[in-house]
Amino acid sequence: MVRYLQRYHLLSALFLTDLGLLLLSIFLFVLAADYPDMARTFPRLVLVMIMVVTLLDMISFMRDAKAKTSSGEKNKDFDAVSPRQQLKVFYMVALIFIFFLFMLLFGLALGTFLFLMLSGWTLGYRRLKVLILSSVIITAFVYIIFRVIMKSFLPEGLIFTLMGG
Amino acid sequence: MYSLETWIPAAGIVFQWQNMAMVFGVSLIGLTIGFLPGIGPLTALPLFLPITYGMQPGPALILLAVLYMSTTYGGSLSAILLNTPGTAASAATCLDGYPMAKQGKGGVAIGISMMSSFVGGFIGIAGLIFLSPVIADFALKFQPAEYFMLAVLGLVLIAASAKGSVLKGFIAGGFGFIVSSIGMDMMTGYSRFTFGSIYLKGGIPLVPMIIGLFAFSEVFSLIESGDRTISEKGELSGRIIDGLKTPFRYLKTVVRSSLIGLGIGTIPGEGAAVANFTAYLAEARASKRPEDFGTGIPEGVIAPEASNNACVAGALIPTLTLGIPGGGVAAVFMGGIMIHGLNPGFELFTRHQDVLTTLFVGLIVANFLLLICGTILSPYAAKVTVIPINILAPTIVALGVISTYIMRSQVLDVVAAIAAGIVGYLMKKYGYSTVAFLVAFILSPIAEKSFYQAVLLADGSYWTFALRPISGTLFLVTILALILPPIMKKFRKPEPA
Repeated sequence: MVRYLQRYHLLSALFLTDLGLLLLSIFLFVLAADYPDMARTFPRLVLVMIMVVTLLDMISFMRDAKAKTSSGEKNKDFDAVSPRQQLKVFYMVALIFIFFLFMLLFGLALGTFLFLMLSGWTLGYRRLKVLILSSVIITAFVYIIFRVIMKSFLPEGLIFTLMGG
Repeated sequence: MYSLETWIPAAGIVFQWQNMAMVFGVSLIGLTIGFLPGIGPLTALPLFLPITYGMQPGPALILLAVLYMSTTYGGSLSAILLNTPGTAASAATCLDGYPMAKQGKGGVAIGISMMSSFVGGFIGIAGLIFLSPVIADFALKFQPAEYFMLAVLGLVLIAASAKGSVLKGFIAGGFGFIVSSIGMDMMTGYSRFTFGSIYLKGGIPLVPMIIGLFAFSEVFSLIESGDRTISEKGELSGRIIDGLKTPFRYLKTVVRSSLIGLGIGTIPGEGAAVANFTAYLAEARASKRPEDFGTGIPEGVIAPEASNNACVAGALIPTLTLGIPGGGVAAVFMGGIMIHGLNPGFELFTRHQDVLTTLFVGLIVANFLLLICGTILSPYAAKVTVIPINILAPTIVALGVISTYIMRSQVLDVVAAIAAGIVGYLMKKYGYSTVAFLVAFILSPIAEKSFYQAVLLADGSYWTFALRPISGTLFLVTILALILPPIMKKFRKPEPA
C-alpha cells in the first residue's frame, strides 16, 4: 500500500497539502450547514468551488507525477526541505513573539533596540560595531516615525511603569 | 465646469509658502510611511485626520490627498526593493520590479516606477477634473449584480494570472473568500467559523493580513534562503534617470494602464489593489512577449504603477461627486471633507468650487513634487537591498509588529499577522498565490453583500447576473477569461527549439 502511494507520489507534501485543503473545505462545508440560509449560501458555494478545483488539482498532480515517473524525469517539487532551514523559520517566528514581549516590557525604543541586537547576533551577524550602529539608527527611525510624527499609542514599557510606581 | 475665477485664487492658496512646505513635508512623510512594509494610506490617513481639524478646508484636503498619493508612491519602492508591497496597491509591482532589483536594475525599476506613477497620477488628476461628472454617472448605473460580477471577474483575472498552477490560484482565491467570511455575517449577524473566539467575531482585519502575507512571509523566505543580502551583486546598478526615460518608450502601456486605473478607481469598492493587477494582466495579455512577464521587464512595472496612481484620483471622483467613497481610503477622505462642514456631491461642486479647485491645484503641484522627492530620495532607499539579511529581516519584523499593533492596540492582531505570515510562507512554498488570496479577501465583503442583494432584487433568480446588460457583459468577459487562455494555449503553435 505504502509502496503504491510512494510510486504515485501520493505521500508528497504537494499532494498532501491539496488533500488537507480538501478535507478542510469539507469540514467547513459541514460546519456551515447549521448557519442560517443567508449566512451559509455564499461560503458554501465558494467551498464547493474549492473542493472541485482541489480535486482537479490533485488529478492533475497525479497525472504529472505518473508522466514524470515513466519518463524518469526528476521533479524538484518532490525534494524534501532540509530540517535546518525549517528550524531557522521557526526561530524567526519565535523572534517575532520575542520582539512583541520586549516592546511590552521595555517600551518602543529600548525594546526595538534590544530586539535588533539580539536577533542580529543570534542570526549570525558578528560585526558588533555595525550591529550596534544599525540598531541605534533603525530604533531612532522607528521612534521618530511612530512616536514623534504619527503620535501612535504604543506600550511605555511595563518595567518603567512598575519602576515609576 | 469650473470657472477660471476660482483657479487663480486656488493657485494663490497652494503656492503660499506654508502650504508648499506642507505639501513638501507631507510628501516626504508619505514616501517614508509608504515604504514601510504593510503600512499604507489606510493607516496613515486616519492618523493624520486629527491634524486637519484646525486647518482651512482646501489645505486640509490637500494634506490628505498628498498623503494618499505619496504613500502609494512609497509602497512601490518597497515592492521593488524588498518584494514587500507597502500596500496591496503595489502588490503587482513586485512581480517584475523585484526581479529587476535582483538583476541589479533596482535604480532603473525605481525610475520607471516614479515616471509611470507621475504620468499615471497626472492622467488620473486630469480625469478627476474633466471627466468626473461623466464617469460618476456611469458608476451610478452599477447595481449589486454588477458589483458581484466585477468582484468575480477581478478574482478570475488574478487567479488566472497566478504564477504556476492556475488551479492553485483559484484554491488560494477561494480560501481568501472563506477567511474573509470569518466573523459576524453582515446580513444576519450570525458568527461564522469563529469556533467561539470573541476576537474572530470581529473578523480578521486587513492590516495584519497584509503585513503577515507579504512582510512576515517574505522575512521567513529570506531567512530560509540563506542569502547574505537581497541583491546578489551587493551593489545596485542601473541609473534612475534611465528608468525615468523608459516609460516614454511604452506610451501605449502608460496610457492604457492609467485609464484602467482611473476607470477602476471610479467604481466604488474596487480600489488600487484591483487596479494594479488588472492593468498588469491587461498588459501581459496585450504584450507580444507575455511569457516574459514576471521575469523583470519594464512593462511589468509601468502597468501597475501607472494604474495605481491614476486610481488614487479615480477613487476621489465618486467620493467628491456622489458622496460614495471609492474605497477605504476614500472613505477616510470623505470623513475629512465632512469634518469641515462640507457635503460631497452637488453642493460641493456649486457652492464650494473654490475648495475643489484648491484641491486640484494642490494635487498637480504634489504630483510634480513627488517626482522630484522620489527621484532624489530613491537612491538612499535602494541601499536597503544591500543591508545584510540578518539585520534587514529583524527590521521588517519590528516595523511589521509595530504597524500591526498601532491600528487597534490589540495583541491578537499581532498573533493574526504572525499566523498570516506562516500561511503566506507555506503558500509560496507550495505554489499557492498569496496575491489571489489577498484580493479575494478584499473583494469578499463586496461580493457577498452584492450577491445577496442582487438575488433578493431579482426575486431569488440567479439569472440576474447574466441577463442584466452591464453584469451580463461582465459575466461574458469572465467566462472568456476562464476559457480562452487554455484554448489559445492548445492552438498556439509550439515554439521552435
